[in-house]
Amino acid sequence: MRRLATLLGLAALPLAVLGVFFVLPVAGMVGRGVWPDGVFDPGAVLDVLTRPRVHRVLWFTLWSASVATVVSVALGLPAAYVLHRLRFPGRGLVRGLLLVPFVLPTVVVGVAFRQLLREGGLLGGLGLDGTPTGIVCALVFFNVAVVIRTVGATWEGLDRRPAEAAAALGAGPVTVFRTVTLPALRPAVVSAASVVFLFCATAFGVVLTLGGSRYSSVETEIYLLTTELLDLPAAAALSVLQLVVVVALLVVAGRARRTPDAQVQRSTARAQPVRRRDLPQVAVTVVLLAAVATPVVALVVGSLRRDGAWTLDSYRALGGRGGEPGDPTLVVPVTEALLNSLRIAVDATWMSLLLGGLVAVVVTRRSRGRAERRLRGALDGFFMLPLGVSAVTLGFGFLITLDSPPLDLRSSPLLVPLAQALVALPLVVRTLVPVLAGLDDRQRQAAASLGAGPLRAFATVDLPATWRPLLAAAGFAFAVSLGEFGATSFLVRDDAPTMPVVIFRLIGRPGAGDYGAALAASVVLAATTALVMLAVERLRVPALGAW
Amino acid sequence: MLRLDHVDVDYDGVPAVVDATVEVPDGSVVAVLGPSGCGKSTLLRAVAGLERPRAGTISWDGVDLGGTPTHKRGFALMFQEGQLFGHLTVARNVGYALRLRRPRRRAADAERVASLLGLVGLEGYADRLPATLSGGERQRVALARSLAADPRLLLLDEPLSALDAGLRERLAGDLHDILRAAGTTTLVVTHDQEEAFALADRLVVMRDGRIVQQGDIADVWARPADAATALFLGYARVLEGRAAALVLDAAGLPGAPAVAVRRSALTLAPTGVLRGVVRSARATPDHLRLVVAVDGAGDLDAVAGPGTHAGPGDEVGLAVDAARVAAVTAADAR
Repeated sequence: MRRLATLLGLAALPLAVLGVFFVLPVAGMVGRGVWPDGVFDPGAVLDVLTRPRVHRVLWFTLWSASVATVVSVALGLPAAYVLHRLRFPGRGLVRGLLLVPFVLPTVVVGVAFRQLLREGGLLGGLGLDGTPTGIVCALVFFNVAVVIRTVGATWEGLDRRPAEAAAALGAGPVTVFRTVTLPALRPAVVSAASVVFLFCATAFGVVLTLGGSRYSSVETEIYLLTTELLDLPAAAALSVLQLVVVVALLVVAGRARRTPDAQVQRSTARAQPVRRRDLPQVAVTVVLLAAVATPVVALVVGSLRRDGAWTLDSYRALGGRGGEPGDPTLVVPVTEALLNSLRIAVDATWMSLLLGGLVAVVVTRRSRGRAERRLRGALDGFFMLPLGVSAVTLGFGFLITLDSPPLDLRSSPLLVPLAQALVALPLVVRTLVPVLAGLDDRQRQAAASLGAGPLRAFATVDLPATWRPLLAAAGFAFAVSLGEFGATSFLVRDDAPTMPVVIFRLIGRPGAGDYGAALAASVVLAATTALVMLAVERLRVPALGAW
Repeated sequence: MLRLDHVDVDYDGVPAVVDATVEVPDGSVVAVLGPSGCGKSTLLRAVAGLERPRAGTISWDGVDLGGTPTHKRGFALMFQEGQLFGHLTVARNVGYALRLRRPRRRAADAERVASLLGLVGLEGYADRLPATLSGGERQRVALARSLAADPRLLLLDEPLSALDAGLRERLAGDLHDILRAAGTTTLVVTHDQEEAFALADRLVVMRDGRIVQQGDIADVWARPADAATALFLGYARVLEGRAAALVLDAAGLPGAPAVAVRRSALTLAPTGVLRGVVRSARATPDHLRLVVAVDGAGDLDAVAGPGTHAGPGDEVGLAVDAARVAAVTAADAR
């Protein structure tokens, strides 16, 4: 009984926060759609699902996410091998570089791809601007890092001996891979693929900046329906549909990785020098590196050129407000937006660390008995929910439910960081959980049997193992917050916008000067996040490896 | 004195320990011996307060420990793999329990750590990290760390099982001496009868969650409760019926339904009462090991001195060493 009380006590704060700032807004948003004008009318919602445009949106979401997932896995597997099983100079740097896209703000990626593919851009000749192919490329650009990290961490810890045994029995390299290595990697591949699919299917900023209104995914459609068409029943219907699909996907992914986490019996295999037969994998990695670098290069080059000449004008413009005098689009200089972003990110980081830390502790404690294990499992799933809910739904839900006492929080400076903290929460939890779960519970028991109370045992056993992952999680949360666009675009006050919001406003305006400023602002934001991520990479935490 | 009174422990709804009643008198070393999965570790964890009994009481000097959490019991538990804290040096691991005390007495603590390291034979290891130690050294550090807590009761979970054979034998002797020198009341669980015999005064034999026999170690050894216990205690065979009667008679012991026979209980002796034909012979450094088809008793193990020449087909006589057989009253359980 006392154990259950402790469990619920620790879970109380995250539960309350998630209840008020997640369940309530999302339920409010859904309710607004299902009860238009206070009358229960699910018919309108069902009608939405029969619209041809909705069918097109669903189909586009499904196939673009599927193709992007397949391509990401196909490119990520060889790269994971090269970066985690082979030894060569500069390996750490390449790993860091390939991780950067994952945390680049979606708006920045959108802008970079547009700059790359538009007429007169580096790859403008391919005619991919505004096409589905362009969107899929951008999605792959983002998510290849997830595959590399997730599969790479497992691959690195894979015992070499079964493969050697198979080789000694006469299996060639391909057979060894097919019969020994791939089955061992399968849980990691499946979990990476499902996460990538999830990210692709709920991508917002990229699709919005690249697809415009022609190509819309469920997530951008919710945004358009809510903000431009004011069709709340339709938006609610799509939100519910998305929630159901994502939860189902999470459950399936959870089943697929029912094998014990690689963390527990990790034995990092010694990396091998590159040999001739590794050439295909190395070639794929080099191509991947080039493909990842190209949009970034296009972005940087674009920000440094104006009217066919090299110039820093775009960066100088960041201090001003851009546009014509009296144009209300930009109320503050970009530099001030950057400061806003940083301030908000600090708040979002401590919030998500506090919540995520508590959640991770709660779900990893060893359970006694089935009921307790079920309860912990349910809590674990509950705290993953923000992963499945459209950030747009969340943001709009905030607006419509937190607008009246006692929850009139619309003008609170903590609203934006709180929404971003919820978006970052699953990432923080997934970074901490494998580490805490990988700790032998008998260490805590040993401390207890020597006379240490629960807090002291925590300080002795858990803290020394978790400070690095905690820092890494802080880095992730910070980066997520810097780039968060979906929820923020609803909540941010016009006079205190964040960087992604300002960038989106800038590219929406016609002037060449504004476009240049958008590129320059994107470079600044990307550089900031990349710095944070390279610092995280130095911590050498196998994060992202535990989805 | 630790006392378990009709204790039942369930593990995930499945009974792991059933109706266990055990006493551990002050200053004694009691070994719980049983095959893996018999519930002995669960019993130990219940005593440590890591599992909650479904029924029965666990008490110390008559005080029920039911509401006392692990860290307030004053029982130090030493795990099979030591479970040293990897980020702390040997000295800080050993001094862990001392640092939990208020007020701190730094000088006295340092002295105590040094003397404990001396006790376990690891002087000069104070500043090493656990990762740099061998398995045996780690177990010694874990033992010193447990003793540093000045526990009312020391709980050892398979303390030597993770070590290789030679080291295990050596460390078992050391552990015996250290426990006697420290005078610590100890409950040890193990599946290895040699470990139990090397360490304990009293033996509790467990099987399938139940205690099948307990008593002074020599008593249990001499009078196993049933055939399965006898086999687990290291007897080679349990004979029943006519074979048992023949062997007991040859040993000059009173009749019993069954008799447990050690491998070396029957020796080759030209004047032996039992007669038979050698079926096979195998040489070992100590003995010539024989299997003999004994008239009226079937195949039995026997040994002969290394110089003896006995081959298959030879007719031989066998003598029975009464100290190496044990009458078993309950013949079942096989």
